[in-house]
Amino acid sequence: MNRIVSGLFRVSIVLVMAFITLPLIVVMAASLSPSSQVTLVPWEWTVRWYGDLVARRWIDPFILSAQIAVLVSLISGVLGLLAAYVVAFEKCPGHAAIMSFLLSPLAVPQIVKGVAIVLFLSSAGLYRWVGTPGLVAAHIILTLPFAVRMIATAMFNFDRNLDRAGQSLGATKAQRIRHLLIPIIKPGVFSGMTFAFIISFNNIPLSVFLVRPGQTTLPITVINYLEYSLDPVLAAVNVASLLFVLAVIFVFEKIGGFSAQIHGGSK
Amino acid sequence: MSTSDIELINLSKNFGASQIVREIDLVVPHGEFVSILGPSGCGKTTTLNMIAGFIAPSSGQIRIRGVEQSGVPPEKRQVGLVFQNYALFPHMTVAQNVGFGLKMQGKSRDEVDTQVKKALQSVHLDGLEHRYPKALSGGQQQRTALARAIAPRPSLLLLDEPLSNLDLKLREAMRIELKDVQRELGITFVYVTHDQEEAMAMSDRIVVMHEGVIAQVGSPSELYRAPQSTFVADFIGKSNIFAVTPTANGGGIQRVRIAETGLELLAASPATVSSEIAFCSIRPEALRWIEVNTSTEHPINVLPVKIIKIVNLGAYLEVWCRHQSNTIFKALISAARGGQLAIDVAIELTVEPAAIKLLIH
Repeated sequence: MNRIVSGLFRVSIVLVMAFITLPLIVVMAASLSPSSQVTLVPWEWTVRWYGDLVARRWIDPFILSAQIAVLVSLISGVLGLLAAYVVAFEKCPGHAAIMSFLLSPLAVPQIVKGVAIVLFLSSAGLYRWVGTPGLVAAHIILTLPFAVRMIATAMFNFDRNLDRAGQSLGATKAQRIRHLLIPIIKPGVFSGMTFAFIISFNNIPLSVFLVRPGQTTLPITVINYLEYSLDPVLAAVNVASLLFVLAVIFVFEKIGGFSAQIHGGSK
Repeated sequence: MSTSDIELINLSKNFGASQIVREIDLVVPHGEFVSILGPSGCGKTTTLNMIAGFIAPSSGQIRIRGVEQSGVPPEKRQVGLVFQNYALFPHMTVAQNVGFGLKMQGKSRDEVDTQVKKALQSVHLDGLEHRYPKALSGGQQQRTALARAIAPRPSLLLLDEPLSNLDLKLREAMRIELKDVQRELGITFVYVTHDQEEAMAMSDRIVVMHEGVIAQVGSPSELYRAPQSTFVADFIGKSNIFAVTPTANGGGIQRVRIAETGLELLAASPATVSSEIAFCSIRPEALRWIEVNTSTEHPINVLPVKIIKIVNLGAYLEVWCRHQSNTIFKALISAARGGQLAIDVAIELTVEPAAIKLLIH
């Protein structure tokens, strides 16, 4: 009986993993297709579509998206840390209500938020903000709840006795934050920043309202291109941006060590 | 300049309507190992946290080294602290943990290194400087926590049940080590525990707390020999405790009757007024088994009983005996002597009048 259960368990794990990875495999295969149509011909392949990516029409949006994502990730990390500290660690008056408020943007559809932001900017006479500043601000609204949530969780899990131990050893509040709290919750901060980076880098529904002509982010460029042609260069763009995101996650994990937090270990 | 490290004056703490600590007075001279002993919820940890500065008293005063501490934050009190769960900094090595206090004081690197080495030596942890806490055993973590607390050389160390997460053998070994460290460094230890054996083994003085008040203060042997209440008699070691009514007094002997049995015992007359006596307490080892045919003496308080249960404690047997009046006595008899004892065997017990403690509450 146990063997049947564990067999079913293994099969279901394989199915779930296949379900997650198959689309990626299909895109990778398509990006290597020699035909100008998106087809799957496993025994013929070429890398010429990747050569096309060097063109400015792809490089410029990539750089813009990466710049925005880095800014959004950094600002979300700093704001998230400050908010989580006050709400989750110091437990300021009304902390539960403030936390709910900080998480509330999650409940609003992105399209609605996008429309609202554009309406706000135009009626407030700030239409010139459309473009990079607007994109950064809008993405932060989207990513902040994730960052706050991740960092607040790390703060909730922080053992208060460590703070008390630091206090009994004569450490001032600033010293305790710097030497105890921040290093220990660092994985939480970096996982929040990673989420913010990925969400910003891949965002379409908000960005679509805020890009300027000739100055579009990578996902919007892909959408625009898709309207007129469907060829393997899109698959190549997707694979390349996937690899870029993976590389960023790898670097963040190296600095922040958050997989230990996810897997429950520590160094 | 006062030579006492801690003075608690009329100290109280309420949380809402419930009084956790009620009007405690205590003076701890420098260099003393004092335990605050009591069951959970007796207020001992709250008292410790008030001394450390994590909880503000509702009323009363705390003086540390003669200085009143109200409004002084924990980081300014120069009081070392050892936690039950050790609270080691997980991202720092043993050496960094132990050096933390000195580093925060802005001591030079050389000085930190020397003091860390000293502290690690005094807890026998040399050679593990570069390990992280999670790579240490429970006992090593405990020593690291102790070394971290003593490295900045506080005159006063508070310990909150520091041994309760260790297994029995290690706990017994650590008791002796803790006491040695305390004696060598000449630091005042305030040790909070619910384990009376631990308190008995290490302390110069024990403060027994019960429901927020101090039930009794004394050396371990004083508390054992002369408990002043049934609570202390029961909490420190084991006791046979009976509700009694005093009957007659004379010739240095107080007669008492165990309630609802008619069994009368003769106790040494206490200093207190006889009419207030309400309980008596007899230590299990004070109940002597009179082996048949060996007795030429004529002891008083002879109790013919029948054995109803025997609990083997290794060197001793705890023998539960029922008197015909239905009173149950638990006697401690050495296993070497008690070989032929068995359930339903009738024996005679006796107890010296001086070994019967008469108590008011």
